[in-house]
Amino acid sequence: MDNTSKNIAIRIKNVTCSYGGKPAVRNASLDVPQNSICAFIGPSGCGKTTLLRSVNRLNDLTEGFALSGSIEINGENIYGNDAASHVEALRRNIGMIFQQPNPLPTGILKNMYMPIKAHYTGEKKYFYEKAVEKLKTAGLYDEIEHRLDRTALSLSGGQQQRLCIARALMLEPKIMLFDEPCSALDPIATYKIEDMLLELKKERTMIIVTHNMEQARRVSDYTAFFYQGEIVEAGRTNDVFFNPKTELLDQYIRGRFS
Amino acid sequence: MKKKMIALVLTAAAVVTMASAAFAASPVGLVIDGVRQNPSVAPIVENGTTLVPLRLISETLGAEVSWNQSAGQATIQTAAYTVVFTVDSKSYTVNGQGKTLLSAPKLINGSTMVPIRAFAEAIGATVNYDASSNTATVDYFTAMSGTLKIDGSTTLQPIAQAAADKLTGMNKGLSVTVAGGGSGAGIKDADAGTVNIGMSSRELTADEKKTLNVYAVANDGIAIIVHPDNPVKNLTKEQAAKIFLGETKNWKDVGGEDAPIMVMTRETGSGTRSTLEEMILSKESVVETATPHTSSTLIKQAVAKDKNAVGFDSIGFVDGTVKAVSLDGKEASAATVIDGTYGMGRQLFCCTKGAATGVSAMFIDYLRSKDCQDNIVAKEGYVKLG
Amino acid sequence: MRLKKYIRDIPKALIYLLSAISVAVIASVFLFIFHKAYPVLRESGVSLFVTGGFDRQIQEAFYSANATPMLEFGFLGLISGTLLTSGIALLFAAIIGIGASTAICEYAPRRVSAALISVVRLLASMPSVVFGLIGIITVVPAVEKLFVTTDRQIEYLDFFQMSGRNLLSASVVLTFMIVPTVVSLSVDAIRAVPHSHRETGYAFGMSKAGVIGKIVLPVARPGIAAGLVLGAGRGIGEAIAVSMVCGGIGFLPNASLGFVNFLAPTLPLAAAIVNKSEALGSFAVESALFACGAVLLIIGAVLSLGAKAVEKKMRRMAGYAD
Repeated sequence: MDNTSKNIAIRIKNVTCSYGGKPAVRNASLDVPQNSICAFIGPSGCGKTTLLRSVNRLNDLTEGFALSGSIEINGENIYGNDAASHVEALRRNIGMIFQQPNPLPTGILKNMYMPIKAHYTGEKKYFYEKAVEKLKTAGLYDEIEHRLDRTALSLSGGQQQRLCIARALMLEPKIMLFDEPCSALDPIATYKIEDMLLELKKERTMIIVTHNMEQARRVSDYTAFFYQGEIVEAGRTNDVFFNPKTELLDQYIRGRFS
Repeated sequence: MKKKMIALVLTAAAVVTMASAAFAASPVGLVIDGVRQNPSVAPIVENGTTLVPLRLISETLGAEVSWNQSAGQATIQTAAYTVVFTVDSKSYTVNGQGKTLLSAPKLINGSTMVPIRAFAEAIGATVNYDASSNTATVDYFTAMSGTLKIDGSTTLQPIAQAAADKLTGMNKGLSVTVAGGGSGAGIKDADAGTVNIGMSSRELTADEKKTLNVYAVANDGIAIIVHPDNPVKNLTKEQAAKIFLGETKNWKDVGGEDAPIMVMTRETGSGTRSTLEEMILSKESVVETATPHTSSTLIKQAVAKDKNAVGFDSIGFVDGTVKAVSLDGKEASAATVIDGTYGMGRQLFCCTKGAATGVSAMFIDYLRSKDCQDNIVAKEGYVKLG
Repeated sequence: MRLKKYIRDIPKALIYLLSAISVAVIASVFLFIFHKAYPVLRESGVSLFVTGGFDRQIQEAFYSANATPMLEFGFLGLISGTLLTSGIALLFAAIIGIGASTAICEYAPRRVSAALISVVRLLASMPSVVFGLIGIITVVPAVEKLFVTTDRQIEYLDFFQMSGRNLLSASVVLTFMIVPTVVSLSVDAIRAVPHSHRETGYAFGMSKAGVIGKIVLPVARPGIAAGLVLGAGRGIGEAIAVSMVCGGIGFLPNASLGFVNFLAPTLPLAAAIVNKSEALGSFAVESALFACGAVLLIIGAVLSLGAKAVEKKMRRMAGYAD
């Protein structure tokens, strides 16, 4: 990967992940530059999500998970310190969006307050202003400003996902991870979110796992192609898609397998 | 020829006379419910009728006898039947209906003798005479069948249960269930018809007597009980009243230790409690703060557990776990209840809806029979009917 | 053509019929109770709810003739007994129950968790009289040993006779009874919280305790509340177990006694019916006991409506439209 012109926000070095002995990611290495979007693509079950979730150590919640190698964020190996406070601080600074939108079954504003109230105390006014700001960033405010107290479950799927993104932004994360964020949404909602991602990346480092190659081409600066747990090829998105160096990637792009 | 005829006739007459005399003199054996009886005056046969002593028959079959001296009339009452015999008269009545005997009742050596068959059949017993053994058998309590449901006073319950056990042992076709629930429940259930017999340890009210017939089956005394370690041994009626009315609150005021008197009582509706209130508290209620218990056993246990407790219970329930104080100097015992000197004697009753009939009547008769009174009532510590 | 229509209508008619029968049965029970209770309800009026003296009144009623029944009653002591015992039990059961169910679902290893849940479900279905026995054998002696001294007995003898059977013991026994129900339903509610919500919490850097306290329990709140309502209902209606340990006297708590009120005997409504049933022969007593039943129904109805109101408020707080 071309890593000379930019700072590397996330450095993945020789990472092998396994669940109960069965490896899901083998010897993966990748540098993700700052303020860019990196897409993980590849067929199902090839370790994309596993590696993604290793970045905020969410896999630690699964029994039997083991990781060897290192993942450095801003120079520090996040797997070097297993203390709970360290892991919690790590996750605080990384926002994650899941495949299924999952707002809590409570009001929209209450959802927005949740992450910030979990960690900070402050005046309600401050929280409110921040929530409004983030909702605007997510392009959601105009649509729902008149019913901020209503339950989040009354929003459409696309709106819910944008709410989740806005919610994640409340903690001002510098890194954001997206696990197939649009796979459950319709095309229009998808475009709205893609637009948002392009806006967000200006100040954040983002990794997005996607099955949609078009999406990867539209949105990402860098792409890594996974096959059976290994990163077969990685590089600038344009290079990867127009000049695939490996046969596998070539076949995949052509849609020969998925 | 003539001499020979006279001799023959005389011999025949002598033989016949001797034979009949022999017949008349040989005692008839009497078996009642499988038990051979040994009355002081032996049963006799007259004109083919067996006469037996009235006292024996009534005691064994649980009947009450009243004797009218001037009219020479004996009135015998079981739970279901009233039979009136008149000495030397062939007329008798059963529940008012006139009937005729083959042989009149007699007075022999001070014992009234009545015809066994007529009497037994009048009350619903079966009589058989076996000529070869010269024995009359009467089956009354061994000819019971059916189902009986009994509930009510927990005071009477042990007696009824023991009687039920005995009777079901003697009768394969009989089943009896005995439950507690208190006098109130027994009376109510008998009135509602959900049980055949209701047991009560208190007198029935005027309202209740409108639909229920009452039969006394035992005597009882109510003992005032305290913990065995309590030094108080006697209370006057007045002292007892003050204690149960909550006016006396400390044992030292009645000669005991300096300790609070914890009054135990029975729940509203208990016959034992009603009797106590009637006889000692002039119908006032036991003090409101007294701890109520729902059965004879539970109140006794409560007193047995607490050094400072006082309660009341049927004499029959008093055992080693509690101590009965004497009342006005009279010890609480069967003797003082029977001779009337004990201040809190009472009767225990069975009641039925309307007049008792059939197996219910026989059960009540059994409770009053000598067998039950001697072997169950007295044995359990209660007091026999007078 | 016509036959087919008939066949389609039969199940529908049958369902309507059965529903009508259910409603009729329940309604007739209600009507019967209020009908039997009416004499006392009418005679006592409002004072039924604001005055006491039940123990004395029931004695008078028992001895009153059926033609001139004594029908004036004051249930305040009984009502306060019902509300206090159930209220205290509910409070403790909520604390213990929610804590236990959280521990079972979130902290216990899987095998232990499964075993504990089986035990809890078993306890929740145990007949109440067993709890009464446990109360008599363990709770009453313990309370007596810990709190009842001869000096205290003498001191309060004017108010009541102090023993191990009192408000405290009754509340403890009810707590034992209610906890399994609360735990059983709370466990279901907690388990029903989707794993995705927990992941969200962890992804935000919350600790395990934070995820449980700020996400899992709030989302499980409706289910937990249902468990509490069910427990409260059980507590209010419990007759046998309570009658064995409550002391049997409808003592009205007295502000001047403070903590000692808990050591006084009590007589909740349902236990009153059990204890006084021996006196049922009298018409006045019968009407009074049915009146206890009627008041219990009223309390149950109020509880039900209250629970609904709280549920409504919660939904509004969660953002659902009314």
